[in-house]
Amino acid sequence: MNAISKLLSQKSNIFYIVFDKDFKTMEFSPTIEEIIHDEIEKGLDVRESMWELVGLEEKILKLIEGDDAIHFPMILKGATYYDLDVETFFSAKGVKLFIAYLIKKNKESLSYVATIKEINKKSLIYETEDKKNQEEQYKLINKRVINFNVDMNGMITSANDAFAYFFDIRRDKILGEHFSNFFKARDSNFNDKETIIFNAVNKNDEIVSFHANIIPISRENVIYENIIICQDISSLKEIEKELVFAAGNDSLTGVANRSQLLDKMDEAIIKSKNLNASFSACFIDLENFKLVNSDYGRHAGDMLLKHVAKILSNFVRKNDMVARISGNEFAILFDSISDTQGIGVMLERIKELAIKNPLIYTKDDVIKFTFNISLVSYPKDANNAEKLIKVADKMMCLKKRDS
Amino acid sequence: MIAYKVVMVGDFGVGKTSLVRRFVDNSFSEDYLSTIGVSISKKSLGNSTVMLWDIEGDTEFKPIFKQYLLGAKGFIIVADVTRKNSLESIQKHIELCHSIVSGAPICVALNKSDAPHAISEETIKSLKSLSPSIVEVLKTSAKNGDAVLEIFYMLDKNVSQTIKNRS
Repeated sequence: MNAISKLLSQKSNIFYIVFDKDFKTMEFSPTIEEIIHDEIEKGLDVRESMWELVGLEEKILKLIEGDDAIHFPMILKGATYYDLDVETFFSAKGVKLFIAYLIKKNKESLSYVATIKEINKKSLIYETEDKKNQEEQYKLINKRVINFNVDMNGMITSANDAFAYFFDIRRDKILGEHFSNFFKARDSNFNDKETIIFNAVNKNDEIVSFHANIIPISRENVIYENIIICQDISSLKEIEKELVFAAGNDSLTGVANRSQLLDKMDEAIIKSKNLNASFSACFIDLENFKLVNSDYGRHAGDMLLKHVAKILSNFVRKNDMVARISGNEFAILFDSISDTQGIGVMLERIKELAIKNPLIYTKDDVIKFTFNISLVSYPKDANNAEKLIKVADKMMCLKKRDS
Repeated sequence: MIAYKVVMVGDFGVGKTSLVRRFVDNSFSEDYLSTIGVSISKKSLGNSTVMLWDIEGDTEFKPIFKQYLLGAKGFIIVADVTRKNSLESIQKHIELCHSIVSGAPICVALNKSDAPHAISEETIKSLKSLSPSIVEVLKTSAKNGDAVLEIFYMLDKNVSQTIKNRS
């Protein structure tokens, strides 16, 4: 046994200590001093040099009765990991002894350790930062949720820090004031209301909208005060604006869509009727668009549509409207241009736009394009918006056929 | 002179190693180096010698290796006052300790108390009531040393007394 163990410890990364049932050290591998904590000597208590065995006495002695060997993985000593095994065996004299092995871990184990350390480090950062974010969010909410109490005459009887923060005013300047000095609403009393919409001007002179909940406080069934909790809904108003924009605009190019163009044409018709005037709109077909899609791909097609929308938008005047009304078809509704000469000049310049502004797709690929344009006027060509577009479509088809 | 084993138990990153380092060497480092496996330190306390098992913390994907708790005479369960999850894990750790060494005394270290936190006296009372084996619940800071010696001495006093009573 000893010869084999000695050989093993010389040839490999195994260290061992043999001890008896009184925990006296009997034998140890010659190199074990490299990894134990204190001096080692035959006859000394093994627990002096192997701290790992402290507390395990009962379990070790039970090994004699046939209990399973004791195993502790991944014990760190210095910068090296070892597995510890404690087993029992018969000595040459037939005495039951114990042997504790320390087996040095291989490189794979060390890379495993590095991986777990890295994961734990990242997890800790994530957990801590997540908490910080939550706190920031909480502070932000507290700053935005204003609450105050008003008596039955609308006079403020208490207000929270968020109130003072929002208006940049000391709290004692708030108490006793009428709430309408701070918040503007359609009604100046809260009777029988559960919610109300307020507007208020903050310390930066910005108008902020609040949705307020009104909670009545009563004593002996008589309401004597209301608690008002205001939530900033400016962000909801922003979303509302975005939804309105999305309903009337083309999602790819951002210019007006067919629906908004029709609305605008209806408005122009009413205005023209009232003023006994006329207006014009031109419809622009992006020629050979299908070829761009097939030669360069849909991405290039999308880029071209955005490019066209941009150059048309940059070209028109402030009150004119550019719209994308179908796949490769755009329209411009001219505000108060009706004379033939002025329109003729405008159409020529639009055609030139296409020639002068090819799409630089890549350093080596320049995509050239041209416009097929038709012009319609109210009331000369039709008397409503839908009909004007149909006339324009017909003109466009005829031009394509002729070319 | 008696020698016994104490195991530091808790979630990962709560400061078990930092508490041991502060107690054994009176040192501290801000760097977080996750303990993998176990590192054993020895510290003499008057008439006793404590073998401190600083074990790998509990993580979602790697639970504590129960074998490390074998033969312990006492436990220090560590939580981070700034991390709610680690505080919520205390009950689970108590159950783990007692599943290996039934009724062993436990001290709870609410560590990182130098950082802003919201641990009230009520919370401490409720933690104490989690088990009759809890000797003490203390807010500790391995960073500035607050209550570090106290918690180890408290546990030592209890464990030493128990060992003497048995012998």
